[in-house]
Amino acid sequence: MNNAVAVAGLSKRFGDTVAVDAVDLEIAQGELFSLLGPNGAGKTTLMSMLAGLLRPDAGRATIAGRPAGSAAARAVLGVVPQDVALYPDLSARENLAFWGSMYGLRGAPLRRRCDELLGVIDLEDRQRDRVGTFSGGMKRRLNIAAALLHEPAVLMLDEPTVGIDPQSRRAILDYVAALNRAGTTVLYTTHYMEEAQELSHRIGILDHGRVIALGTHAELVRIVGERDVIDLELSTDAVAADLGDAFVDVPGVGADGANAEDGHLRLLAEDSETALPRLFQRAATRGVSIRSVTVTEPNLESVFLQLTGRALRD
Amino acid sequence: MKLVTLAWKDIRRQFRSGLLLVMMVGAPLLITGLIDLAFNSPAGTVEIATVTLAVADLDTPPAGAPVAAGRTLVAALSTPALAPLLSVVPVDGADAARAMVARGGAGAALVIPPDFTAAMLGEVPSATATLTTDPARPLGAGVAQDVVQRALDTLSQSALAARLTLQRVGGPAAGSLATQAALRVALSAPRMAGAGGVVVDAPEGSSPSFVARMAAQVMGGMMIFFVFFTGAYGASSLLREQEEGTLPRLYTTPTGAATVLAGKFLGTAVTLAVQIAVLVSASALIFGIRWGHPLPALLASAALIVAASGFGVLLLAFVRTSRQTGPMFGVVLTVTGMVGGLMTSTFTNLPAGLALASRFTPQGWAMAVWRLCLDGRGVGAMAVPLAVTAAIGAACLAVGVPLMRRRFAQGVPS
Repeated sequence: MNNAVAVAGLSKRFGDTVAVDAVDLEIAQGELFSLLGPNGAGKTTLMSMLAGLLRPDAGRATIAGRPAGSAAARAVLGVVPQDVALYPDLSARENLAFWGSMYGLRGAPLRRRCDELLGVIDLEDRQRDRVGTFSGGMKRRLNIAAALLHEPAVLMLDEPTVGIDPQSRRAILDYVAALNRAGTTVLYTTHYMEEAQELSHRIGILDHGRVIALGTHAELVRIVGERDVIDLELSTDAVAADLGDAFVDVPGVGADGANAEDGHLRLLAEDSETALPRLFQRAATRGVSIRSVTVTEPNLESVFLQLTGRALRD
Repeated sequence: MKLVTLAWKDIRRQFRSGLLLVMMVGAPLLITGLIDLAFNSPAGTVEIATVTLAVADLDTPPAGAPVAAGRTLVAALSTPALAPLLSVVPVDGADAARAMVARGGAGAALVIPPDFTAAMLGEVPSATATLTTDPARPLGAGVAQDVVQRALDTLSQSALAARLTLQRVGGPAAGSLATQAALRVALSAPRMAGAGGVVVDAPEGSSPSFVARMAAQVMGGMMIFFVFFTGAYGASSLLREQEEGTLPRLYTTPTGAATVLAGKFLGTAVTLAVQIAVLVSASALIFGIRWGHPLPALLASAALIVAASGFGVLLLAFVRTSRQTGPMFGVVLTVTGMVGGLMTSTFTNLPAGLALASRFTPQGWAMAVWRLCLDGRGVGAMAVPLAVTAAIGAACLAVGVPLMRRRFAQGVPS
């Protein structure tokens, strides 16, 4: 099988901080692969090395078989940066035409492609307006379209839904899924587990620059078995931290995923119905009140909690 | 082709910025217009106060000299035709004349040396008449200088012509007496019907072109001042693009770093060329400024573009964020512009130290080029300042471009 993206032993260090630590990764052609991880996990650094913006300290990477960062690799790669990177004083059409020409498109093919994409992102009516006058969602859609003019074999999107309204987010997710169905290989980074869960064929979980888990959603969830995540909202953060140690010896509650912060105590429990009364009882003996309880079935959040002892959105 | 696309993108962005357009074109024209308005009456005629000229005539003609050239000069300057411009006040001695200027009692002082007539007769190699002007009254100083210069030129030319004619006609045998006779004729011959003695034409100060010349100096200074701002702004667009994320994004496309940076230069250079062309054309139409011959003006423009863009690139090395560019560029370009004489382009009596200091700024050399261009001088006359201006720009680029590459394109394939 030909890999659209192949990464072997890729590392990057900034001073004493290891941003990416010997990452190995293979993404097949036509695959939609999500990199999931909290802020600062190394997702953007990894993407930057694949896009040729950063030189790795060690390891190698290829895009469609071409060395990452080479002109040949960049010609088949579309990059959607995390922040909107467009010219606010140019119109939507002028922006698309400019980015298209940077990928070597000219004349009628460029115009046709601009027309197509303006239609797809629903900005035909605003194509002559300056981007500076657009809403956040419109800019995000245009930001994606600017990476698609040359119909790239591989599309990398770095947290494209951060800070936008639910409607625009839905539109972007649908569009990314449609692109993938049309044959584009997609590398998608996010710290929203719902997005990774919904979109991806496979998911890689990144933490402190290392891929700590890799597989399909079902495969990853199997890591935590059938355990639920119990989220207890307690009176204070300090109390939550104290109780964490006290609760892990409750039968059926695992010590491996306990996490306390912001007044919340999160635990992995094999049978939440049995565990909850005992947890309430233990809290009462400690004189702590539980304000609310949330029980979640096994998901990527619980996987991350199990593997790192931290919540995904920390 | 990508180079042109990159440059065109920058040009469009710059010309869509209202503030930048005001800085590029509006401000220099407005400042020149205000100064022009201050010296130009609504009827279009010049209203210049009469300049008092203190004259110390120390001329002592040799024995038997047919004329006293000093007296002839004073008489020429005192003719009714010049009365609206010049009021001649005879004083005793050079010190008295200069003291009168220092007190503000006169706008200028002329000291005619003792051997003035002897020099006219060719009996001594030369004599120097000294004109002292009040730097606080540059317009009056300019008028006095203009009138006195013309009078001296007329006297010298007449005397020289007489001596040469006699030498050709009479050869070496023609003696001093013959020269004196011829000189008497030359200096007393009417040049205009009804006028006797040496006639000095009224200087251009009595016509709108005098003000136009002054406006041209102001406009030249302002043009250079604001062109340097545009050059710095153009260079800083790289910093803005880096902050906006469009520069990193450009490097994710199959476009080399060298092309991206070259596109930036091209965009800035074209913007500067358009700015100069618009300012030159608009000022010619509005203020009647004549910018000299086409080729020198073209070369002066090219040198100015190199200097302004080069200086901008160098300045960019000293700022970290785009927020710093405003204060940093404002201070540096204003100070170097002032030292370079852009704000005092109409003053002729600047202290020698300031004139020397202007030679250490690119603006000072650019002003020297454009001053010559405005005077209608040819390429040969402006070769040195032209070459120095361009060389300063090239040196700034030589230092600034590697710094820029290291900062904005490090690790990016070229």
